[in-house]
Amino acid sequence: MRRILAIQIAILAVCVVAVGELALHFPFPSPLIKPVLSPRLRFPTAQVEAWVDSGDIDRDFMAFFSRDPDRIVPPGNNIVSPSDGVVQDIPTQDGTTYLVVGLSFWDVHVIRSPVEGIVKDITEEGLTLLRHPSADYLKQSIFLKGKPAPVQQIITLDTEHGEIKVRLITSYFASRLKTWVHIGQRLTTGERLGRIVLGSTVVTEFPGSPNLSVQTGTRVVGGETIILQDRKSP
Amino acid sequence: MKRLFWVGERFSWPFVVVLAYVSLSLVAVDYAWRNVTMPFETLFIYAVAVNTAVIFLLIFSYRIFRRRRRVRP
Repeated sequence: MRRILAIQIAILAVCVVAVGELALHFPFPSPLIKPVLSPRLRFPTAQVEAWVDSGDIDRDFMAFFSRDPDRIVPPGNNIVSPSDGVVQDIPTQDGTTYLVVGLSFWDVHVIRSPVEGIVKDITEEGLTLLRHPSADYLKQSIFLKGKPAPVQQIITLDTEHGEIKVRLITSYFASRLKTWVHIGQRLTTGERLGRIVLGSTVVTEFPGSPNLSVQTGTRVVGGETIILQDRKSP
Repeated sequence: MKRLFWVGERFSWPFVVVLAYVSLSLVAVDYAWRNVTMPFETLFIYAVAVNTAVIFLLIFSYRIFRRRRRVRP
């Protein structure tokens, strides 16, 4: 009889824990169902924004946010997307085309080399208030889209397709960009360039007006989505 | 009344089963409304209908179980 009572108490304890976790975390998901939800449902936007505002970011979310999965780079000398995200705009100005990719909380924030080449230059912009870009610069830089206090790391690559720049952009208050390459380093397509630790935009600059195979609204995967097909590739 | 919850030195099984069922269905409904795109009201109506049917089935099976135990020699 005692054994049956112990089994019943165990069942009731599981029930209490399940309902308790549900009530404690509502409207956000209970830890019991979190593992089986998609990332966007697992960490709802309102919850992530609250974590960012308070500075107390959930450890599970940070582990998810810092992930760095391997990517299968398509063969050929194609140009691939440097990051995950959604193409926000493809403006052209003064003979340069800018591919603006916006990253969300659920995208991998590791940035990759879009094409094979040599790192020609790495520059920083807006990393201190003294070097804060002028209002004219903000207005002129169409890819910044009027972002207040942008902070950028600009990696210039010398490639077969010409000089290609990858801009990692965040805000002054986030100000956390990491680059893992150095000037003179030879990079293969899809090789890791750095990480946006907190931030939202990656801009790739192409000389001229190339016929890109993506358009505004296209979801791209860093190192995998071809954004410019190499004519010689099969 | 007490026999509904407590029999001898243990809980009554119907009590345990109903509590476990209600808890699990709460978790299941929570999971469902996060995954489906239908309006919450529609999901709620479906959930109530399914729960009612299952509770009736539980009561019906319990009555049959009791009747069979009574007729056993």
